[in-house]
Amino acid sequence: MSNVNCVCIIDDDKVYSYGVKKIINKNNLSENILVFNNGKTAFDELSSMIEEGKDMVDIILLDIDMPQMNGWEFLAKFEPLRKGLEKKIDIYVISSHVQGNGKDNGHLYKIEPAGAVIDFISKPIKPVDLQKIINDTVS
Amino acid sequence: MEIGFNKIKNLALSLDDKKKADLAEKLLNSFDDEAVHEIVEKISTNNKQDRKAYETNLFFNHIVSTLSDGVFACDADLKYTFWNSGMEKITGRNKEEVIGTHPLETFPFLEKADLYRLYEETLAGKTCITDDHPYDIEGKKGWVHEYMAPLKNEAGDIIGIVVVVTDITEQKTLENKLRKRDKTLTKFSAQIPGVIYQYRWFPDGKSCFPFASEGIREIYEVSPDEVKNDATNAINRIHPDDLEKVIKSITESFENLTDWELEYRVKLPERGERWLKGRARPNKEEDGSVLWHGYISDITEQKKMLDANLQIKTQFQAILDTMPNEVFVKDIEGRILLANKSGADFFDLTPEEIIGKTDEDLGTPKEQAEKFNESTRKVIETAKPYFIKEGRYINKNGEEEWHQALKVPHQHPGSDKPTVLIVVTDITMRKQIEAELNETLSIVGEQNKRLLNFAHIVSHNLRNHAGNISMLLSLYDDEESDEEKQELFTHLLTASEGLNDTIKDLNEIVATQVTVDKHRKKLNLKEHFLKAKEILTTEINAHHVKIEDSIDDDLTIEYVPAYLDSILLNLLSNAIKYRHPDRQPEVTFKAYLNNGHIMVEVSDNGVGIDLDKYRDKLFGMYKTFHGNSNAKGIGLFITKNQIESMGGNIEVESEVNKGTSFKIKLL
Repeated sequence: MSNVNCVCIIDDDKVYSYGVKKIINKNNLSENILVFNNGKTAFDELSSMIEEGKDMVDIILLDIDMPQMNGWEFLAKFEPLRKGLEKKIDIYVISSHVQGNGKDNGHLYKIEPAGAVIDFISKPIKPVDLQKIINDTVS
Repeated sequence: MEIGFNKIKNLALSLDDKKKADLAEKLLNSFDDEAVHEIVEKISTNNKQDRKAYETNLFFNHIVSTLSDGVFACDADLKYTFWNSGMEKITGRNKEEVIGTHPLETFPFLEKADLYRLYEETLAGKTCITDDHPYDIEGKKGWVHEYMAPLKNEAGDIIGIVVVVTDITEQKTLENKLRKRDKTLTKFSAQIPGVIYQYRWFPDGKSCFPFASEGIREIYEVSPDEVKNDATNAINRIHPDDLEKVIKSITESFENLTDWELEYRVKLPERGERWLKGRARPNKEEDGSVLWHGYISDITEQKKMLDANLQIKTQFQAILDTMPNEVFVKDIEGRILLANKSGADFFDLTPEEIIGKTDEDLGTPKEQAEKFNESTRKVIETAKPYFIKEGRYINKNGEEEWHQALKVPHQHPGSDKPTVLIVVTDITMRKQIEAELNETLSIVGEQNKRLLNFAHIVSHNLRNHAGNISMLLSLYDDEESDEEKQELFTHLLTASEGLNDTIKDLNEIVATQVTVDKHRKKLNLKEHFLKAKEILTTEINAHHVKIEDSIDDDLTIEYVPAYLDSILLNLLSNAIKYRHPDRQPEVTFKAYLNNGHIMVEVSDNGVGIDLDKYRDKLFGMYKTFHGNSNAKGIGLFITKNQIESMGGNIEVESEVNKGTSFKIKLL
């Protein structure tokens, strides 16, 4: 079974983050997991990691509704940095704002910073969905 | 001797006058005895009488022949013995033609039988006068009547008849004309709904109606005949209250010979009280009386109508004056011809005082007055109504007023020029209500937004918590390590608490929205402030918060107690919660009355909020901005809900790192 090096979870819901982390570990989907409580701490940490030339995360699972800096704001701020990287980072939006699967969420792609988003996934994310994300990234 | 005398007498009679006289002379000279003397004396007397008769005859003849009346005579045998020139004129036949003929055959005016009967009667000693009757002699038409009398000799024996024929054609024509005119007059006067009359007043106070048309039966309920010689019956009909007035006016007219004109009442047996109007022109007669020719009509209906009109006018004016609208009638130059009380009040004048003035005269600024005049002119020129939906006007107290005006083409009674009727409605109040309504609408909009928020929370937060629980449960099933299970369980507990809290919050919000107007009480603001402060004692002491308040001890408010407590507590605890870490927290709490509204201001020197970024979200649900672990993001949402559900509003001012200030209109 394939896995990735690092998955980053940005979500203020600690219970959710714990659950996702647990699923990833249990299914051995990723070597490392980074968890941030909101967009701001995530952006601050990720940008300093890039500056320091550390290994970048492979996948970001991003929530929308967060205090201080929400998902959209994070996307807008992080996009320039992401573009400057050689390494590909797959960003998924995981939110209860999302209804159904990707095809039903065309309107979300129209929000400007959504260009970097690979897919919108409704909360709570299922183990199969996580598996698929990992597989897609690896291949 | 006796015979001889008679012979002489006869002889004498057969002689003419001259011869008689000569003979008498001779006789007197030849006879000298007493008897002869006596005879001669007698003859001479006779002769004198004859002469007198002769002279009388001549005189009679002369008169008769110059008379225009026709006169003729017949003897007892009914033969014409006399025919005067009048007869010739009337009949066109001369004396020679008729003398000696028989009138029964030739008399042109009467039927034979009638004539015969009349002759018989006259010859029997009667004097006869025929009725007026028409004649037609060879096309000459006319009217005559005859006077017939017996002709007697000295001894009184009837020896014939004398007839006077009077041609009355002219008189008859005149009479006819008069009669016709009378008829016309009567006809006319019968058509007139009043009485045409002559009234005569004698200096001794007696009066009468020599002539009165049939209308008097209606006017006074008397017949013309009843008052022909004495007006008392008519005078008795005059209303007792008006009698003095009537007599006074007639006396005046009598004395000064001025026209009489009066409105007065009568009390009639049939028709009751009526109003009359009389007019007459007096004329002084030779006998000292005064004769009026005049006309009296019944004006009860007009009077009633006039009264009704007057009433309507009064009523109309009263209605106009009670109207809150300002009503004006203006001419093309903008001059006011009529104004109601509201209209006059607007200028602080009486309706009479503003008549004839223009807006400019009344102190309206020239530019504004010109605008008013322009629309007035437009209405007159186009003859179409003009509606001004709203216009702003600054009154003389400098206050803003809003007016709505309707201008309609109008024909003002008493003005021959076109005018405009203007009805102005003060819509200032309406404008205010409109503004309030707009405010309410925006609140409703806000509440709609909140409902949307609510729906999002239901779908978002509930799903979050439920999703987490189901996720954790599935992990729990697969977990083997007790330690891990324990941790999972802790998280499950957190998730279930989160779910529980969300449901509780939602309950609270729903409660806020539905409990409006229930259990309002008169509350002392200061007391409730102190209560909130007490609840927060621990926090206040722990963080050395300095709280200053300025609240009038007597300031009370009709409010739902739970709301007031919740609002005060929330505002105070927020002010403490978002204190600045680098300085002693200071909170000022002010409450005061402004324009009948109870205002509360809560200011702190805390961290502040970037309003450019968060103003829209500040009062939203589950919005937190500081990453503060205490922040649930529901307090301000509920506070705003409670304030608005009581009809108030909340505003915020803030500067990052300086502090935040909430300004609340509670009621």
